[in-house]
Amino acid sequence: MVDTEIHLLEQCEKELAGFRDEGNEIRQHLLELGYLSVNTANSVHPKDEILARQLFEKELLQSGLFKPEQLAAEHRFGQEYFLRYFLRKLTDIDDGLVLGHLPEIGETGLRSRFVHYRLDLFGMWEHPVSLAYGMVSALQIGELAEVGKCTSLEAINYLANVDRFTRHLLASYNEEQFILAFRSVNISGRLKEKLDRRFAFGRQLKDDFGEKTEFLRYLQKHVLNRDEDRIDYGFLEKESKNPLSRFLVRLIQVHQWQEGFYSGLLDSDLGEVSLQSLIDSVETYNLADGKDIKMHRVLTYLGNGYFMFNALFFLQEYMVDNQPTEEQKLWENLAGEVENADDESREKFTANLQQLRDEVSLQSTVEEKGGFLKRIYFGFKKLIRKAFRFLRKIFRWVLERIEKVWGFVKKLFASFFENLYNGLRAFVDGIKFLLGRKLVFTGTPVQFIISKISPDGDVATLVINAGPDIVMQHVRETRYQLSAMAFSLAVVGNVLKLAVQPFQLITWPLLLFKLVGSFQSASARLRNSVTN
Amino acid sequence: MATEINDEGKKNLKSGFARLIKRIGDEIEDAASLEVTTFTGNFEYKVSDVVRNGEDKVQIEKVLKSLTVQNQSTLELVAFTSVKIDSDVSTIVKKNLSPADDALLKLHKEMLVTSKEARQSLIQLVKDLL
Repeated sequence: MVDTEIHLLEQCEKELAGFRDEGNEIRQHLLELGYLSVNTANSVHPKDEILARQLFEKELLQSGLFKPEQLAAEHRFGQEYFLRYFLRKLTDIDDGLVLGHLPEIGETGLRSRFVHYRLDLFGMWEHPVSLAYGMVSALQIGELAEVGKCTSLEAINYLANVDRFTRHLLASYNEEQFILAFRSVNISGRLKEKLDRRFAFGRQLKDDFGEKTEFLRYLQKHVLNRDEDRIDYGFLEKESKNPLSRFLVRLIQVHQWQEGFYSGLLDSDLGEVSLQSLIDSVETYNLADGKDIKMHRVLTYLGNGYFMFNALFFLQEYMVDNQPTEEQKLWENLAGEVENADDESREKFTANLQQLRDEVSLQSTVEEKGGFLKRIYFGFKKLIRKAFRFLRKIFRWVLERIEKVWGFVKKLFASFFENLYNGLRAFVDGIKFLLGRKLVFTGTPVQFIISKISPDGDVATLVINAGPDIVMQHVRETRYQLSAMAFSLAVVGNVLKLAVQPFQLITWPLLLFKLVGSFQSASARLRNSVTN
Repeated sequence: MATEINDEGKKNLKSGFARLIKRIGDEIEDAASLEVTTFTGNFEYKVSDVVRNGEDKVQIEKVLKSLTVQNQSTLELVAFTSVKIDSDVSTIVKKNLSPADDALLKLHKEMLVTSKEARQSLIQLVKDLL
């Protein structure tokens, strides 16, 4: 007879083995925060990475940015998780950290890196991120504050939530200031031709804004008219250099990057890849919303390398959402669709999910290109909000592998796989404990302590040639393992509760969704107990 | 990615969960009493014989038993504590403790705390399930 609980454990271990964690995310964040030099991004030496990790951890503990109990709680999930969690928190720009005060002049360490990272992300920092906070830092933040019409501290804190900052900018400037002109010289003839809808763009602009201001009247007469020879390129050149326009161009690139539509460099240059990403996102929203927004509603090519972009429409329609951010509900909803699907669809969905997982692990490699970091965004809040907008489509998008939205789907499911990985780890750990297979080992092959903690609470310990140091180490390790175990059992409990409900049809893909939900609710419970 | 989608797969999953729950039930019955045992020794022994991949593949108790039976070592009991559900506690401690044994006795006390916490985790799991 098959020991089915062991079979279950083996299946979970097999699933876990399919995950590849090569530390790419941690490496990227260490580069972003200046613990590793950008120039070395394409071939980071393992020794340098170890030193960078150690320095980050030291500065993290010294920074006072997080409460000691919060630091201790995240340690329960292991060292990799700990580093990744705090590095992500520091580089997050949709649910990021808010500073109580700016660093002092001359201050080095995590706080100054953090401020420089945010400036760098928005194209306002040209020096090493690791530089001490100085007058240049203060000046650059001042420039950002000018764009944001706020104080320097508010400006840095606005970058903790780019959606909020975008809403603030939309409320702070006249509508017409979001009609942007920019120049991009290396655009293919094919794309220019596709986007050459100057007159249609102008007509739409007239419908939306009329000709109520001098700027709008000037645009209609000297830029968006039918006669190409009468386009005022001098005016466009001046407009494209306006600091607000330049900032908005970067902001749009950041929005596109956050949502997975844009995977190129953050360089404030709306080149071929950026423009294609704008087209992709409009097409995705059309698909999701059942609308038929034409590209000329948003963007047109004018001539001489100049483009005009209706950032007001783009930001309001697509980039600022007020949808919920409860990720757990999103996956629960998808689990419901998996549950109700027929066997054939479920099998196809599972196969595509596996393919997604492989693609997600491949996309997360950071590299250096022309002095810039080619990186991916690891925050999820914004994506989750977006996913609620697309909620009723996602199952089908995965099932049918819709090419147009695959970039977005990949980005969204990166969060799913991360939670699945952590959930599986906890679940496997919990089952091993229940099956009596869990040991705590400290020491070396000749001097060691082993404790076996049985699920019923019995403990047997064997001490071989171990001195007081190993004893202390073993006590610490046992405490750590025990608190991790309590968490693992909470995950196991959540899964078991769901799995044994009457009439519950458990299939593998459904179990994976249950695992993600169980991990998230156990984590939320743990974090609440720490913060309250 | 595993695909427990066919009927046999679904049956295995269901049965796996059922057996896990039964196992938790069995463990909770045994949790009425706690036994904490600490041994020490200085014999030549390869850690790989006891642990493989961080798992207790060969059962630590069996190893201890075989070592004692075969008299291969100077394996000694440092302390044994039994705690009954009615809080009745009995402890056996090695005679003539040396200063070096002091650390081991402290370790034993820590393991007693661990034992209680481990039982508490199991009780919490059962409470969660109810």
